[in-house]
Amino acid sequence: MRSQLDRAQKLSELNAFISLLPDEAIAEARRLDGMRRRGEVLGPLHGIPVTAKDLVWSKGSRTTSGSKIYADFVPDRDAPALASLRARGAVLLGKTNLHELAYGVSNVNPHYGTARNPWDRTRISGGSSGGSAVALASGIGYGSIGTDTGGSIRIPSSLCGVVGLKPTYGRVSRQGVTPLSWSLDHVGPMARTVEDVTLLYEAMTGESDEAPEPPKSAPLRGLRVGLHPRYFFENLAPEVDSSVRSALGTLESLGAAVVEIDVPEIELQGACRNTIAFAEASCYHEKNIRTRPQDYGDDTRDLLRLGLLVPATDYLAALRVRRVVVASFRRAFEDIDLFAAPSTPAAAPPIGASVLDNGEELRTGLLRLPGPFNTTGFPALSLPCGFTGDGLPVGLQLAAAPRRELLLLRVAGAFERQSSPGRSPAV
Amino acid sequence: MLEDLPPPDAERLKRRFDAWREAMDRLKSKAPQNPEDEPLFASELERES
Repeated sequence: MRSQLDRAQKLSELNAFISLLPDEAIAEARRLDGMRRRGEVLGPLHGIPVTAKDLVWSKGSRTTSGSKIYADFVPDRDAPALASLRARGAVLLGKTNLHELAYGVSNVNPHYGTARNPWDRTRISGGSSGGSAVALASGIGYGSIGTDTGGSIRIPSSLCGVVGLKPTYGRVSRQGVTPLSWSLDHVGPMARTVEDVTLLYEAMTGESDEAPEPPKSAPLRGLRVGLHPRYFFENLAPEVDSSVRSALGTLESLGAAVVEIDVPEIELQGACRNTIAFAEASCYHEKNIRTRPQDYGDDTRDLLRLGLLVPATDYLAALRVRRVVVASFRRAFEDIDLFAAPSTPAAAPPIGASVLDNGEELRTGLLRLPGPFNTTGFPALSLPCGFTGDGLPVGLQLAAAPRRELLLLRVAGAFERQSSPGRSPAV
Repeated sequence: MLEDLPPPDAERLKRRFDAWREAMDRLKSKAPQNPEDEPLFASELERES
């Protein structure tokens, strides 16, 4: 535990953490060591150091939500997602940095510093769960709790080369997690490997994989993987395109059939999700944005003000259209088991850049590929599938129908065993 | 609200609002007209979970 805390302190310039909890973590580790000596083991997470995004409430330690507004907020209880990990022996090392109020994708935070990408410190980590991804990629903690409203687990996982799962909407409790947009918010695990994400997911949900071991030679035989060329493979940075297409080849080599599929209403989902997020976020933060606008960073203040201008009729129309998008994805999943796509259209851009390598505006570009699975609430994960020539990670996104997280994790695990890039950043 | 903001803030917000308005107007033409017997999205997926 001490070596993990030392490492976190040594790498403080990465701004992975808003708060480290050394005294609490050491005390808890001692308690758990005592239990182990008595033969009492709480499970596979016994004594394992983890972190949590700093909008996940932690009893007795401050939870800022990355915001000046909540700088001194100390919850009187743990979020159930955190409580479930602690109950199985996990030790909370600290609370990780995030984009202010989870309302952005860069993790450039005006109040707590910019979370820096461990693969190249001049580049963004991605967000909004950026600190969690930075900590994991730097070898700090074995898992983290993230949240995802438009890609906030999968974007930083992709840009920092770690694994992140956004479960089905509602699968992991959102209680005790400061909301951004309650009908799009998801809570989920992040880790360095698929196996570790699976352990965390099982601890958070009580669900476990009891499927028989697949054959070693072609573990994905019989699986149909959908590829949507028009939406998910247009306008990609060339190295992202080649890495993800190579990953599709790996899935085929494992026995899966890759087929092209269309989701006709997919183009609707971006405006639909934006409208819902704008209205819900501004509803939650209305009092503070009206009375304390100076306490927000520029981009968050702009978005919260924009949400105040969204008429109720448009919010309700967006909710109606979401049903059309969900139905369209449900039909697609009648023909396939999984979707495969890039997690982001380009690798991590430099801090301060407003466009990605593929020419898209930063926010629009990073939300485009993960966003559909927030609009629908379907489960999706990101895992590393390669590197650019500059040594930046590229993420593969896999998505499935509701409640098929274990299928996602099994496929991701098979892919990882076959193709693990097996590199760590030189931090 | 726009008139209460300093000019740079108001201009930035107006640009963002106009872009959103344009996208939303395109979206509204696709909204189903008789969804009232459909369950709400959130409760439906949470029930599945």
